[in-house]
Amino acid sequence: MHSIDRSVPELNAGQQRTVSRTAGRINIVVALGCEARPLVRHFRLGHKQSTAGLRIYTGKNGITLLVSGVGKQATACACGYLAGQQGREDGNPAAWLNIGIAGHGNRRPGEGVLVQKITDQSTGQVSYPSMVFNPGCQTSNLVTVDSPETEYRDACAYDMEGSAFFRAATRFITPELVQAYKIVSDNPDSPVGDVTAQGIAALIEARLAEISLLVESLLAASSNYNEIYTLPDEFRDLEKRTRLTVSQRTQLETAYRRYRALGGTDILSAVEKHSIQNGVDLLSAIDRFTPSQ
Amino acid sequence: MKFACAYIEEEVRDTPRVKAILSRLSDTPIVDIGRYGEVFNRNAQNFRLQKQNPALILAKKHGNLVLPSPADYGFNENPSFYFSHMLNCVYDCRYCFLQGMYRSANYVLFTNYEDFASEIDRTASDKTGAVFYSGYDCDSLALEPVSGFIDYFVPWFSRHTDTTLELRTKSTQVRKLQKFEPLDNCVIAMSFTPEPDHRRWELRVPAIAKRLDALARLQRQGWQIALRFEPLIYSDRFREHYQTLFAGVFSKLNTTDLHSVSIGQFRMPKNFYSRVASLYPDEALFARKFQLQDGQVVQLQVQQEELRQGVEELLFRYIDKSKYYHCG
Repeated sequence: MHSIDRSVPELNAGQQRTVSRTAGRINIVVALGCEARPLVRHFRLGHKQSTAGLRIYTGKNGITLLVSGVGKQATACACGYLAGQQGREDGNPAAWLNIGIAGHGNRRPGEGVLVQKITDQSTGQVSYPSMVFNPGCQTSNLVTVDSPETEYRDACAYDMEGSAFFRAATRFITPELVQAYKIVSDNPDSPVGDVTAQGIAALIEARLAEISLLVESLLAASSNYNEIYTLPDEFRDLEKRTRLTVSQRTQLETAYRRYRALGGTDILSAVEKHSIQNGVDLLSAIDRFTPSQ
Repeated sequence: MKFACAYIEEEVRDTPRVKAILSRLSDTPIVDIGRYGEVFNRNAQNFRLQKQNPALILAKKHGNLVLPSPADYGFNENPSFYFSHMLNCVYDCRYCFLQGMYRSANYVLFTNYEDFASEIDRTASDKTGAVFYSGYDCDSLALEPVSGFIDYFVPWFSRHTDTTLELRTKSTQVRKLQKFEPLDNCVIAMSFTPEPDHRRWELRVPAIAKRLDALARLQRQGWQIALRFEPLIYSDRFREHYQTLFAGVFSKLNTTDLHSVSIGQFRMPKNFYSRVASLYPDEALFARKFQLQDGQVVQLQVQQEELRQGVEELLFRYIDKSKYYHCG
């Protein structure tokens, strides 16, 4: 069994950080309140809202925790709800991480695994989360079932949310930023009927070091992604300079990205010196200030 | 070499070659898959993010094992073909069309070398002097410690002397080649760009000096060496940069013994270019002004002409024109 012999990182630096447009963000999705409790405490999250059985917690470190409820439908709906809400708030995309307990065909209770292949047992659909960072933990295949697994036919993990989580979350962000981490709660020698809420919380608690590393890795990957693809606040200020048609807004984005890629650093100051009456003026000003190749 | 994980097609899992490869990847997570396309061709993947930590996919290639080379690709007028035992490259060259051609940055290694060889044999059977290029969709040598490509194909071509193999590479992994007797029908073609372009756009590619050392070793041993100066990318100081590059290259190699030397301009099919440009919105190369020419994104005509003329003029100070061709 792989374990990490070091103290649990507390993400203090993250908590000091204000969330800019390009900062890393992560949505952690769990099915149960008892899975959420150790995470809320560890990541110092505060309760934000409860809606239709969903509970959402947030922190100043870019972390949002969603308690979705059990099963595929509940998970898919919850992911959609959260993504829609975040899209309305600022549109800054987040990485997604599903954390939860799972049965396993050959691993012992307490072991944590990052999921490398997800099979939906009822539909046969298969997904492959990408590993764009070193997971720092063991990996396993996962089968998502419609009711608790008691036979553990294969040497893999069994849960009730993973496939729906992956399909839902990858609608909102590139699949490289969607991962699932499972902690073994039961196996052929330790049946699922013996699992209690208190025991689940303890299982999560014992894996906080590994979870923290995953969260940090995904926050970093999300930050990297947002730095590349999310337009910074400077662009928002620029587009407010004048009224733009839809087409001009697209042209402005292209022109702005080109300006930045060629080494331009302060378009607002440059544009400030010119009288901008309309979108055409703005576009031609940016073109004028764009450094040559 | 480290991989994020290794995806293995069920069909090849128990083959000796795959077992040998897996024995060298002891710490790598293994994931069973049906067909490589399940992983490699999925929609909405981000090539750029995957490139940070690619996975290896071991698969069997079905059909299209040998294809006709693109027009003007080769060094002579003989029938020419290419085959790709691998998709994607371990290097990360910003100008590379593979970034736009594939959705995934994972490496696909087709392990049914025997099928490639049979198809090469069949293709060559009714042609005289056919040339087969390796290294169009990958680097021929860079993954050699894992793939064992050279171990299989060099002996095979040593028995098929009526055909020619060109191995195109930027790799310094030449130790395997050095274990074999040089073949008259095998050309090792190394690509170079000037030092400033190399530093800016050829991430993870071995240093020019190291590649030259590797080539010089092969040449001394008697292997046929070719030079591919591509892609030519315009800059105000390109003459100075190529002058320095050529001075370094031709002081290390015996120019008389060179098999061939070519240059090729930067170009990319329009749809590939669009995909790469949106993957790298922060890359100065793709913020340049280009033009569209026969479905290809190319440098401005005036730049192309200046580059070709300038580079050829510098090149002919070192090599005989009979060894030279312009690619594409």
